[in-house]
Amino acid sequence: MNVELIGNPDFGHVRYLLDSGEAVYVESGAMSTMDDGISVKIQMLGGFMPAVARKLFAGESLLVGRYESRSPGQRLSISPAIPGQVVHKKLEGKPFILTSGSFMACTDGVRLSTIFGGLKAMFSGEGMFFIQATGTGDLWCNSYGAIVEKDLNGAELIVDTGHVVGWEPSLQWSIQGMGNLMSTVFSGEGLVMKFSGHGKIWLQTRSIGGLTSWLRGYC
Amino acid sequence: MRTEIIGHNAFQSLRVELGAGERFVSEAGKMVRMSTTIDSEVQSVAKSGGIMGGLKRMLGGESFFFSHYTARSAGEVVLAPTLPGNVGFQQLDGRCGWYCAGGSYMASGPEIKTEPKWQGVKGMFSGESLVFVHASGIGPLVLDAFGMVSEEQVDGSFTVDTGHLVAFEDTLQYTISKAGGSWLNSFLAGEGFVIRFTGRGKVMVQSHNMKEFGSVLGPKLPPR
Repeated sequence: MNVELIGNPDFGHVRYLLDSGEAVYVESGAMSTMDDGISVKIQMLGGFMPAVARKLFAGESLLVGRYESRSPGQRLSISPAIPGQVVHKKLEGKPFILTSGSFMACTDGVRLSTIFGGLKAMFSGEGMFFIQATGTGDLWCNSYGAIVEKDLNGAELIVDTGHVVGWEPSLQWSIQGMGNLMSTVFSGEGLVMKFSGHGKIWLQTRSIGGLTSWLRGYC
Repeated sequence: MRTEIIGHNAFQSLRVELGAGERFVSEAGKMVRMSTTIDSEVQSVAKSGGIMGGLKRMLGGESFFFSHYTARSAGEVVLAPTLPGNVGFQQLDGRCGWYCAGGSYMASGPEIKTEPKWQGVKGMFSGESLVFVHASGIGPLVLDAFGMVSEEQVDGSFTVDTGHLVAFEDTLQYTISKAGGSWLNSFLAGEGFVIRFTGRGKVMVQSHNMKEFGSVLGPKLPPR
């Protein structure tokens, strides 16, 4: 399998060259072009109930397409709906948590499940449910804006809601205001997420909420 | 005449340098800046292609009007697409023409002939438009796109999802089809109809799909 990430950071997308028998699971609707030697099969990644939960709660599609090549050197391109960066993550047994809408594609060996973020997730601006990817394999995620990786080595980090793409579950997080009540209300940030512990977190430099609330002024 | 794509990635534009007496044509509304030595005249397509031609063009998602630029003496015109993205560019050598799908025609040299071509039911399901603009002749052809533009060589057959097509060489044929396997799989995979090209030639595609981006933003906006 030959994989190329192109167009980053503005219009990131992924181009695969698949040989016979090689396959990728792709988020519903993300295929943009492909050769004839690729077949598409619909699957519910992680089984029926997890898939239904992912659809209902995480806003991800219920189904993923399994794009499998039947002959050598078949082209397949996939792109997210939103302009931004696409990143690759190699999973080697350590789980990774993604916010809804960040999942784009993965290879065999990656398992996706839905996890409930708890009551605090209601205030996270990221949806109440997250997607947990486990296993070993390749994972591709997309963002709005560019992706910034931070390695929290026991430090704490405050992140505005709507800017989180994913994190390692070894990190803890909580919801808090921006300082006192006055600055929470008037800083324009509202509630923020505070991450702490040891592990990596991915942030996106823009938020869809920010774009839509600006557009709303012109509706 | 000299053309140059300026800017990077998401914000490319086209700069056209014209010598005295040289001409260039664009869809109306694409001009960003131009030298004072350049005269621009807006013409309805009706003048060149008749009212029917103009109406057909509108069904193709194109403007009813063209801007014609003529240089009295050397100068430049800068044209930009509506959405963020690359500018698609083809230098036509007269060997074959290009079909511009879904309103992607942006500008062309004076020797390029553009004609709206009815696509019928196929156009309806292509997710692009009922009419494609056919460009032929010799000179530059400039296209509008959302995202990054890439060219794919087709030899045999090739599938492009609706919404990602920009233009294709007229040596190719296309049908509306399903994405690999069965219709059920195609729809459940979220692809629905796709455009299947056969023959030999080049297809120009855009990395992103405006309708998909629109449908992410739409539900978060108040109803009109």
